[in-house]
Amino acid sequence: MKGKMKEIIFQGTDMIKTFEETKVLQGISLELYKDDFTVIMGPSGSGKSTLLYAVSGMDRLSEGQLFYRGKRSEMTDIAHATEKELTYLRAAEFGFVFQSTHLISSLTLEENIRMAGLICGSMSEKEIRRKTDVLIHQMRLEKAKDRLPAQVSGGEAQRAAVARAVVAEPEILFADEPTGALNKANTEEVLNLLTTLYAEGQSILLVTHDREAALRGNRILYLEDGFIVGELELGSYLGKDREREWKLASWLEGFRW
Amino acid sequence: METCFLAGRIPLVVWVNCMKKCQMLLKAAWRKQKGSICGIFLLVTVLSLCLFSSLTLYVSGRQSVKAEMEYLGFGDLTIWINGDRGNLSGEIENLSDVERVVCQSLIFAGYEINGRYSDNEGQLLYPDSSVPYRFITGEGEELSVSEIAPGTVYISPAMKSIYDVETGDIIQFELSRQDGTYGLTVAGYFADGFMGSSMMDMKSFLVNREDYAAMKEIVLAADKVDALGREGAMLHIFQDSESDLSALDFYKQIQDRTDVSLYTEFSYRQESILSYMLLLQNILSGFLIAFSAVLFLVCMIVTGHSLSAVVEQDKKDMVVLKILGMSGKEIRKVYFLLYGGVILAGLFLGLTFAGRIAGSLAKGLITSTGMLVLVQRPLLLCALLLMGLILSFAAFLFLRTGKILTVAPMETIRETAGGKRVRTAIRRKFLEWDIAMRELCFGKKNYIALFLIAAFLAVFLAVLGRMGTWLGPNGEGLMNVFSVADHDLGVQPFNKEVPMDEIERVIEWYSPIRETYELAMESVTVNGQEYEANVLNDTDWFHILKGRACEGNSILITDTVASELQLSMS
Repeated sequence: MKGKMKEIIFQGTDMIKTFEETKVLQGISLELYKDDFTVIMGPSGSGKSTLLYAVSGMDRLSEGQLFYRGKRSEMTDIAHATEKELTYLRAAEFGFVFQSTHLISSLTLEENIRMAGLICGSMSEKEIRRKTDVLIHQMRLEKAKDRLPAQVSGGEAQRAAVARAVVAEPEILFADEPTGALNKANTEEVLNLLTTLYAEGQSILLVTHDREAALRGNRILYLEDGFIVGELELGSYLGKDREREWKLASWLEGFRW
Repeated sequence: METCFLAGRIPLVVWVNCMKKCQMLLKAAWRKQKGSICGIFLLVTVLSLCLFSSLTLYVSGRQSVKAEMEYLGFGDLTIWINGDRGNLSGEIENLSDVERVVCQSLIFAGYEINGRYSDNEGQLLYPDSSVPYRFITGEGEELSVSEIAPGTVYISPAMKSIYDVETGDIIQFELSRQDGTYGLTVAGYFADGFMGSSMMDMKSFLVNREDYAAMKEIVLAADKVDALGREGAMLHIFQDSESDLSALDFYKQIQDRTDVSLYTEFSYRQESILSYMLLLQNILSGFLIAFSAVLFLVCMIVTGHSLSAVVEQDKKDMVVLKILGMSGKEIRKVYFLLYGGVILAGLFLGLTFAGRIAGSLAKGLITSTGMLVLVQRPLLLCALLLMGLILSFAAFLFLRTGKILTVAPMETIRETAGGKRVRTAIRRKFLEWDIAMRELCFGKKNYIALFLIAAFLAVFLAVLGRMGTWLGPNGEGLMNVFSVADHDLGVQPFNKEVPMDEIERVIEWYSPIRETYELAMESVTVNGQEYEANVLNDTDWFHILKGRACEGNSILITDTVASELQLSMS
């Protein structure tokens, strides 16, 4: 918790998502706050990713309401937004990182990052170049920046994906299991990056089933069978903290994790 | 663009960003698809070359022949007459519908070149200021000849293909039976506006004025039994611009009111001459245009398939772009620009070189057309056609890239998360084969597109290769294809005394006889005009354009005769 009064950026009410006959989200009501690092945890099939994609407007809700107040400080009804509005949000206000890097295969890492800046449309070419250079340095991608995604390691590709997600300075970064396909060293590196970004004021919504990843968040939500069944306030991550680890572990134990 | 404006930024920044974005994506698409893009570029270039060169050849051919006829002073009607013509020109000129008559003297004579005797008479002419002939080299370059040297003759380049004649060869003209041959050395070629084409049996020869006088003397000195050559003339008759008579009525009037029918050998309207002269060029242009139409369809099929393959292959990248905030319309624009640009480049490249190709074709055809076609690109027609092609391709690309709009991010993300099911096994024994098969299965659309491009290019090259054989040396093949007598050797007995059974046996010894039919060559006169009638018992032999083979009291006529006599079926 960084500020005294939390500013709501997402407000969802009775959110339902149905796939054919199956109700994956069963009427969730949720608020997401600016400058928060919110983590959604839960067992496989609980609806974590579905919730993330519904909130980010990547997928449509079947029922319910979801409002977003972002940079332009006007409310957008994500559940009923037009494709044009969603396109704008994805370009200028939302950033995405996935388990699979989803980098454009025929662009170099640097071009992938720069492309996101160009698409957002709110920065000049010079600004984009400067921001890209800073991120490349921050993500330690100097050596790999001119290579295609297929020519770099998984860690480098995922760091590039994170850089791409934040180059346009989005209001919120959505991360769906970003460390799911990485080894321990690379996982640590990516988590450190997310922590740094959060410390710099980036709002993040992370979906994970990795306890180490969840420790980086300040607010943990637990999802089970399409319901939010628990919420934990952890406070900001300031480095390895046994008490924090114990707090999370004992909280998760309550859900037989 | 929409996303950029929604952000409310300065349009210049937006514009620059959009351009940069587009440039980057085009570069990326090029990296991935250069093989198929190059293939499409090649196909479109070939299409453009083929189409615009044939169009140029068609229009330039028509213009050149017309211009050459006008330049040489051919009238609306040209009548070839023989013998003593008296004041025939004056008689015709006095008619109210006639503007003027130009009379060009000539000698009709048979000839022999390199041991081959001509089937038809040639016409010997001498150039004077009234008929300014143009001289050309056998390779199709213009040649400056101030005067024809005594003892030499200039011929149509078409004779190269008919008699294999070269400069320096001697042509013996048969003027009378008693030592009446007159030998002249071939000095070069001239553009013959009418008889130049190899489709004409009768040929013109340009000789020196003194030689002409000497030959005329031989012809006049010979008595009727001895004479082989004849004196004659071409009457170029110009219809008055205010006359409203049809070509047929104009000719009828001349025949009715003058003695011209007493001397007429044959006559042709300007349009008939044009159609004879343009026959080979029109056939070639028609063939090329038909080929272009097929090529256009091929381009569409290949481009369509290539685009489908690309959309399938790049689906993931498109989804990523959509996730990053690019709209489907913008992504579509990139692919539209890439393929549209390539097609446009191909069309313009083809158009640029079409003139040269048409020029080369015209030069190559000189031994068939008998005259130099001055290639001038029909700019308006080319522009209209280019516009039509661009619009067709644009509409096609617009339709085919529509699929991009339907690419849904979530579907692809779920697909990627789940992965594709692999159905082919990898066996140790057939490792290389199995890996190749798996690669083929995964990229099947791409490989099909490449296969199609390669196949169509191979077919095109094969057709191009075959075309040389089909055209044959000096266009003989082309002539044979459109000739009724498409056999290597035809044998016709002089009279009933010839033992045909014996002759057939001899022929069968070497080669089977393809067809036997009875033939009588009859000369018929219609409205004073001489025609040759092929009286034969099997008219199925002819390529019938319209109607049916002869039955009972019916005849088959050529479309030229039909147009000449304004006849229609039944």
